[in-house]
Amino acid sequence: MEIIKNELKIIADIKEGSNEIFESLYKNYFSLVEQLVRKNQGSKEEAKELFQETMIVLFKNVRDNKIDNKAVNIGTYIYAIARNLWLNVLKSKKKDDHIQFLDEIEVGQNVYDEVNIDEHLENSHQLEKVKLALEKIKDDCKEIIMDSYYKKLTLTTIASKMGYSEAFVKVKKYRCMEQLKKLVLNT
Amino acid sequence: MEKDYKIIDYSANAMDNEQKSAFEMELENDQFSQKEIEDYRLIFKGLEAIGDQELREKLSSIENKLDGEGFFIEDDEILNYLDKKSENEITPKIESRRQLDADFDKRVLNLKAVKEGINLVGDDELRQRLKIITNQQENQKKRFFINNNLLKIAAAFVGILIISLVAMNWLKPKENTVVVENQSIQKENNPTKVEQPTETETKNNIQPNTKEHTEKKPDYLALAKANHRKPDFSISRSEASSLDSIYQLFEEKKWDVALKALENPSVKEDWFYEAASLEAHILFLQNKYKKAAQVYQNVLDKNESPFKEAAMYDQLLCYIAMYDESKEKVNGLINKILENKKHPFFEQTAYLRKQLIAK
Repeated sequence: MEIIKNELKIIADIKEGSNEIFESLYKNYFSLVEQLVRKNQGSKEEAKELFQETMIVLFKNVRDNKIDNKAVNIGTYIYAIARNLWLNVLKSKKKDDHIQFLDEIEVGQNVYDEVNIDEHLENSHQLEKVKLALEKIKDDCKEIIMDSYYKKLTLTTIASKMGYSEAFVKVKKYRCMEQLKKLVLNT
Repeated sequence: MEKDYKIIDYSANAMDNEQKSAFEMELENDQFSQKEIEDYRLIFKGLEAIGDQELREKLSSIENKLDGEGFFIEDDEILNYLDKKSENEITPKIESRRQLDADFDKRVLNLKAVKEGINLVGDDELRQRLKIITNQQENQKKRFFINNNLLKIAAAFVGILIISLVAMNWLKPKENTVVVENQSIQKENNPTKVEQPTETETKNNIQPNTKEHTEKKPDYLALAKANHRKPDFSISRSEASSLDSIYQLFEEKKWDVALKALENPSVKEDWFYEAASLEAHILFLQNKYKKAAQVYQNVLDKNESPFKEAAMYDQLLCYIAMYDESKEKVNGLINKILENKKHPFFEQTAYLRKQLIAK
């Protein structure tokens, strides 16, 4: 089995959102989530969906610095996210707050509580408008916008990634946003 | 321009607390900027959702890639592949992953071992049923024979009894006693002479020497059996899937099938000690003590604690079961175990020695 990199490196890699890190997370932790789901009334397909959602939450928590880099064990953290998400799924299925959960691994209650699960955007109309507008702007503009506001990468990171100066990226970021706003409002 | 940037940063929650408070004061009476912030916030929500969607797509493509490499293959699919029932697209996935991933290859081999066990169980059950049918037919024949002959035998027996009673009345009791006494003296004076069975003994197929032998032997056997225990896997690992399946066969008393499954090289390779102790245990239950002792010897030859200590004790029980021919081995093993006070089976062995001395 592939040897997982140390926790800090993993967290840094998750922040950049590379394919390699997510593939490595699948290889190392998918079975853990799968067992959790299967032991709690779920199927393999549901485990796959849950793992995707878990990865999204994990990415956002890392991005928003909601994860304690020094204290966290990535496997336990992934498990805690998956557990919370699956508990929500079970609750919505059963409409019953009392659900007996069969745990795969022991994690402290505080880990479950700390795991933050963002709400998804409900306004699909707004999403479509932004999506259409984003398709109309140039690729480098789109990249800067997504890197700045979705991935929340620093100017320094974006500048070195794109081969621009930090000052240029800063100005370009605002200009691209203004352009996007105009397109959204006119869509 | 500066204010526009501030509006964007404020909407994106990209300001620190100080900047935020200062800008909120600026915004107080600025309806236009407030409307701008509202617009930007909706855009940021949209961007967040688009980012999620893109990440989801990325994860899906990783999932597809892993799926192509056979990462999500289920046990059922592997079993179908082994049965050559799998769809065309799964076979190459399994084969390519077997080449790339040693763990996966091991999983396939373990499933193969289990599957072979299951197939054999199927055959075995069939044989059992045929045996039952054959036995039923034989029993019916026997019953018919018995019913027919029962009356004849009973009549003959009654006849013999009457004749014996009549004959006894004609015989003198004193003469009888002398015959018996003479026989006893003859036995004492000539102990090496092979004792001839009496007429009654011959009729009942009772042979005094054999009787003594069979009466003595079960004592040791009973001692060995009473102290023999099921193999304990807790000293190593307990989640072995292939071994668990074989253990299940053993629990169901499908011993021959379990022994066959234990012959699988991958099982032996992965679970040498557990497989050996289960094999020896089954052989013991099948009264094949010599073979069982040999299997324990294989474990002893590996010289690895804590398996060797357990094997030593179990081997001792095998030799006790065939005590008449293995006295020396029994004594040797007992001494060896009792030499070491920390031996995990020290107390049990001391108890066995005490029992053997008592006999």
